[in-house]
Amino acid sequence: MKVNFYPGCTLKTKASNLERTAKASMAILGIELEEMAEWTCCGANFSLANDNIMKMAAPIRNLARAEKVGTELVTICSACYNVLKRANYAVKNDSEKLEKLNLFLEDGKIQDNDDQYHGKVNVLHLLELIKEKIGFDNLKKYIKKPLNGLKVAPYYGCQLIRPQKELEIEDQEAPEILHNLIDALGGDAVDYSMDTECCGSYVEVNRPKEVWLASYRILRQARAAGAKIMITSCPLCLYNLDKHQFDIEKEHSDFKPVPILYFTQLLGLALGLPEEELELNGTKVDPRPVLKESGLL
Amino acid sequence: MPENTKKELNIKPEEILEIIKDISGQDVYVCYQCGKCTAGCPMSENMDIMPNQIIRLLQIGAFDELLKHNTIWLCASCLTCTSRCPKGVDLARIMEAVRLLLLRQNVAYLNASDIPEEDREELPIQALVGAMRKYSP
Ligand code: SF4
Ligand code: SF4
Repeated sequence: MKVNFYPGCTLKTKASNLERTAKASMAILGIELEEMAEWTCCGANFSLANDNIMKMAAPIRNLARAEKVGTELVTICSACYNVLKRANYAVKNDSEKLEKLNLFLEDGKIQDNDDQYHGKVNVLHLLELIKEKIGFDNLKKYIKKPLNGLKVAPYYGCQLIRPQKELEIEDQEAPEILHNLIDALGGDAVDYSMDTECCGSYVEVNRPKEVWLASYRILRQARAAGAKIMITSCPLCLYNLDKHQFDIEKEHSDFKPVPILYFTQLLGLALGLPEEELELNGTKVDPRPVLKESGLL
Repeated sequence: MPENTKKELNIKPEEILEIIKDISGQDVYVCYQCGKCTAGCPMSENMDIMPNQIIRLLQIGAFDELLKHNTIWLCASCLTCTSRCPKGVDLARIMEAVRLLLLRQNVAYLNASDIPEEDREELPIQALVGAMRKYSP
């Protein structure tokens, strides 16, 4: 089965291992992520201004292009998911907004065949696709290397789950989808209260020290709950949570680093992808020692 | 607060709340100052005044006082406050509105050229695009 896929900028650069491990894992599950022929950046952040809808032009242009291919668009980066889905919600529930944006798309055509958007596309996160098209119970059949009860902290962050009313993927205070994935892979999903706490997001660009503190609180709690490793679907969460761990360690002698992976790397591991294809060398905190200790590499 | 955001604003104090309302769609007087937004805010530890105090300062018209603090620039737009407010106030939108009120006066909080080159190389694009959208006109 083929699905229409929107990668977004970060998966083409820093997080190319997220894209590759997602594609390779989904191929094993019989689903081909087929990249849209033409797409642009979604804007990375959903604008919270009510009086200016111009920042929705980029996501809506992408949805208009997706609509020509079909009614489903799958994405993986939490930020792309948030922006595309919120813009989609906004125009589906406000025909005046949709009309204005369509006028703009008409005026500001980038491609000759750029067309109007009719609000027919359903934006899906890859996790939702796995849940709906494969099912977590069914996923177990494909597992070659069960995770041996490895204690994994699911980290949701913000963009994947908030606002619940618009994204509707999960309960924003008690999400389960990553927990369910970990358990299906034979791991042990660790419960800790900071799994939906923000990592500091784009504030990292300007005030990294403040972002560390946010990361420190999240990681410390996951550790205290017994986590050996953490997974996420967001390249910025991965970056922020990983980047400062050695600095944190210097300031807090009781802190032990927690390696972070994309959920697709853990999925690929359990599905039996060879180690080189898992690209486990992208973070400062190396996940390989923990995986070796658990007999998974 | 960087120097450049301290410059005089060309907005009359009585117009500020109207503008905030236009941009955010929120009425600051709905807030009854319970502090739940602040209790859940992941960045509050480093903010020099708390998220609920931003609303309080708007309610009493103390915009100049508000601008002395770093709070709006440390807000990560995580929507935790928004999702938990018992009065349905979308505080993340109010934070955005205050930022935009300044940015639309062509006052940049951060320019791309202020970001060290090594950071530009290392940061995921989504962080750079996001920061430019939040911090520059
Ligand atoms: S949670 Fe809502 S009502 Fe309570 S202080 Fe914050 S904005 Fe005001
Ligand atoms: S949106 Fe901003 S103010 Fe609200 S909880 Fe998040 S960081 Fe704090």
